[in-house]
Amino acid sequence: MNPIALILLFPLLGFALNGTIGHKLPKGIAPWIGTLFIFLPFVITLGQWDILSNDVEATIKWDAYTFFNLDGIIFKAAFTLDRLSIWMTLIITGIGTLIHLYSISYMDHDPNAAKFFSFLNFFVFNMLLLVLGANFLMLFFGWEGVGLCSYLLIGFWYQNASYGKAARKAFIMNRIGDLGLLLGMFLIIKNYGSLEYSDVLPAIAQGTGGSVLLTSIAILLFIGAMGKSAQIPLFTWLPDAMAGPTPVSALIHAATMVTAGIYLVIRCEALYALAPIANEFILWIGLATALIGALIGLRQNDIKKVLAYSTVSQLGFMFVALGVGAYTTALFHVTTHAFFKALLFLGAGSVIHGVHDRQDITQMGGLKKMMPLTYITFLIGTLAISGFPLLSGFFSKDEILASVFHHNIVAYIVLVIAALLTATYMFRLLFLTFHGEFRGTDYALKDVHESNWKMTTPLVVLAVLSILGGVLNLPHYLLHTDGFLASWLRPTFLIFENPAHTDITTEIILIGVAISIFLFGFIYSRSRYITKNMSPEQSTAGIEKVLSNKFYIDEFYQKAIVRPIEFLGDILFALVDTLLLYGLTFSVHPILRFIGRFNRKIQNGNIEYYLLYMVGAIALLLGLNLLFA
Amino acid sequence: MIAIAIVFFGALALLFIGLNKEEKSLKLAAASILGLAGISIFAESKGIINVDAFFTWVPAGMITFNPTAQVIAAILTVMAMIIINLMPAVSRKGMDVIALMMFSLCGGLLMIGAQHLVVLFLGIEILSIPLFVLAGSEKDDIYGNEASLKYFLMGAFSTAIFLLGATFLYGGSGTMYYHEILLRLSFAEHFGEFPILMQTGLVLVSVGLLFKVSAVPFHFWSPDVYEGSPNRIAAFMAIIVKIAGFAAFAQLLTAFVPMQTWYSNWMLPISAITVLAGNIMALAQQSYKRMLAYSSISHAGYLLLFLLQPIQENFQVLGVYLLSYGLGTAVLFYLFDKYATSQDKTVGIFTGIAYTNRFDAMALIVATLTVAGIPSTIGFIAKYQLFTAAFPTAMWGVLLALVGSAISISYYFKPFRVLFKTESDVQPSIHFTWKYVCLLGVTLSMVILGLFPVLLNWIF
Repeated sequence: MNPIALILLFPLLGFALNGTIGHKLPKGIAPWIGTLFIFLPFVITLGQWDILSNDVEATIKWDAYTFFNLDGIIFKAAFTLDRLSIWMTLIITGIGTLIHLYSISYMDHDPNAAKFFSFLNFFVFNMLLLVLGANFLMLFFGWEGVGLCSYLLIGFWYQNASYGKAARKAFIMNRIGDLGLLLGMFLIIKNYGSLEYSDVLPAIAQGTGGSVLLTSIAILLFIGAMGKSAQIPLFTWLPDAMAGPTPVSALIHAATMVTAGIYLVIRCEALYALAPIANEFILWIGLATALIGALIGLRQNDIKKVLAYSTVSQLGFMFVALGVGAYTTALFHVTTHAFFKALLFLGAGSVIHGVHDRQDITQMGGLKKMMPLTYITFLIGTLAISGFPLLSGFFSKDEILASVFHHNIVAYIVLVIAALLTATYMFRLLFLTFHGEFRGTDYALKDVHESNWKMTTPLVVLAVLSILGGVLNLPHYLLHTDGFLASWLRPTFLIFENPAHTDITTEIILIGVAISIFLFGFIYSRSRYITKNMSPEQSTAGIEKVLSNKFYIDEFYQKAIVRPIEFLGDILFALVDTLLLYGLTFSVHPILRFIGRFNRKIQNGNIEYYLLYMVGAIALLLGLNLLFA
Repeated sequence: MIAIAIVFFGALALLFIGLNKEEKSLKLAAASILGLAGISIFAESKGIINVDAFFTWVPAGMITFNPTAQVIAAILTVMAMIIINLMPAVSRKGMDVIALMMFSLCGGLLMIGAQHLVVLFLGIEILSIPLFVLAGSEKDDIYGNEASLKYFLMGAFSTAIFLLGATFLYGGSGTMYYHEILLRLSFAEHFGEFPILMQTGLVLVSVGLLFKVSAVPFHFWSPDVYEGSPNRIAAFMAIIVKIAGFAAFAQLLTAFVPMQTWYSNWMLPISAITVLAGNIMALAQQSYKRMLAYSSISHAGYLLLFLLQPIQENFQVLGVYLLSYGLGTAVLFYLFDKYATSQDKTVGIFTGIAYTNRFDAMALIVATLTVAGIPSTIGFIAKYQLFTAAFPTAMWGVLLALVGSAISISYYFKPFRVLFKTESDVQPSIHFTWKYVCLLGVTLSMVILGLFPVLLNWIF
């Protein structure tokens, strides 16, 4: 059996099993089924690694099924495991396994655990569909599928109305982006007559298609990515998505689904390499997102919200890398971010679990004594994301900064500020949660407990990965050759990516900046929250109020977009529905009654009449035909 | 055509064996005979068996089944099997009803294979005469008697007209073989004018067939006769007569391809008015059975659209539509029969069956979606193919048919409003029987063929 088929089969099987008979199985079986059926694809994928690494040209293909053939355009379910998709698959299944394992304990008390695991498996299946697909059609299938699963999982505790609303918000905002993706796909079909990567991308790379066309397709696809990867202006759904269970936030809204947009751009590298205007667009959108996400993150008091805005901001970093054409760097940051952000989310989940489902950091503080393992791993995650030297985040972020530095100095400065803010809000979160005095009022510190091994094992594994993740792509100045990821990915790129190698002086300056960014964030937060022992700000005035209210973006959308649409809806309801449709429907009724009465008169049951009608009709037919013959 | 022989002798045997037996006890035997016949035709169409050697005594070329006609004949036989299987047996002794249905089926098979006007005429008569009797097979039912007499009188009338038309065609061409008619007409086309006898003849012959498939304005018999006849016979008329009628009509029109532009001129209005009248009248009906009668009229309208184009030997599109129509209608008739009472024949009979019998509710939903042509069922595939094929020659007709389809949703979906309505706690009551296997097969095939239309290529 084709390995790709197996990789896809297991999560689907897990979904089907848990979704149908999961709740009838003895307690505790369903979660393990879910976990095992993610772990198996991980092992299978690892088994394919050799095939791909031995031969740069090798790809594993699977043509499963042809949907239909429309005027020569073939729509088929085809999959390919190449160097890019195996990388993504390993992240998805590897981190997916850890998070499933973690969820076993996290969802222990939930009566609907089987449903949870079935959704989670279905999510992994769709995500694999997205990255393994060999054409835009499969990508779109997965794209919609992960959107659906995200909706289902954000609203998993649907009894809470506001969670349901958050789920709907996520779904609708994603749909706006999807429209862009769809339009982009239509343009591709129209101009290239195919949706297969292997047809479209080489054609683009060989220079088919004018710059206007390429730019339009690139920007439309990017709009899809903006929705899925929470970029300005479509990012407000991601913080609200924290309504879902924490493992969901870790898996879907930090490590995998939100990076689908980055995957899309990397996959279409040939297209974006030839569309400079679109690149510039991506760069500045990414910059704005990185900055605004980090700014809002400074003044949030919900442990998961801080991490959510941090994710928004980090996704902005990745798009900045894509905007300057550093595709490997972006994927590198996707990888390290998957490590440390999943770690941070799971750590946050452990904290939430430990303090009995509270998320407000104004009610925390001083937890490090009670939850030592969680504290240490959370600290490692914080150090990694803030760019502590030699941890994974340091290398990936430094690479992004270096690429931007060579591209545009203004962008570089903005990005440095965003990185500075990252370190600041992360240490604020760490100090307020784990250090200082305990501030809880409605529960006691002694109730706080460390989580069990099923939750801490993933934390430890992810912490190790967060520390060592940097070796995946060590910089040029250390190796004097390309990093591992860069040389791994090179064969998949159609247009040669020319990495910017800098002289050693600039490099040292850049590293110095990076380290001072970290130090500044650390020292600033420490002086504020440890030395001065400040409690979390209840921001009521000035810029702080603006920040804690998230720049009033939700309110702005409500007033500028939702209200006018609702207003339009009201008008259309009054005009189209009430006047036109109701009017039409009710005017049909008398007509029908008239026809019915007429029919009753002619269909009166008397056979003489029936024969008469028939003869009349025959006479009419013959007469007309003879007349016009 | 060994199937005709199987059905005919099978029916004879059943008639004698079953003289003193309950109909119920021999139903399965009848179904098996029909199944065997269906399989034999299908095997012939795929070239697995060849029995032509046994039929050398049939005058050459009078009965010839091309592959498509063979598949339609197989569908016809299987439909008869489904109807006999699903619909309840009468309680009295004797196999006369089922035997007559099988004799009638022989006529239908003959019609599909006819390549000669006399054979076509014989087929129509063999199909119809048992039906005249069957319509009144509930001897105590006064409405059944009325239906029987009505059907007989009007049928006789239409037969006379058909015969007159056939005479004219013979007069105009000097032959009754389709292929020779086609030859004559090709000559005539060469000289730019068709003999007036041929035109008149085609109009009259068509009227005879339009009567059988109940196209407006020759449809008046059908609502009355359907309503009066026993449900089983009504289903038989709605499905078997329609399939056989259309297949024979298409077969006949292959001989008149040179006159296609001419006959499509006057058949387009007929099909348009059939679509419109059928749908609008169906909307106004209270009785579900009468609604089904009018719905079958509207389907005749859609099918006529297909006949407007020059018909080649392979009319799979027609076959697919007839298959989808047959499957859906059979299930709807079965469910109507199961739930209707003598007082209540409206859609109200389906109230709450989603709770009392999920299985029937599922079948009802699938069958309704099929006849309405909603995607994921074979109905959609059939309608889509039919409209696409008819579009080039009958654009306005197809647009009108789309409007008609939209109207049809509102009466087809009426049962859905009450399906999930229930007053109190009801207990599910499903007793699994042989019937459910059949119903399950029919329901599943509608969905599976709708999801994987590739399978249709294999059937045809």
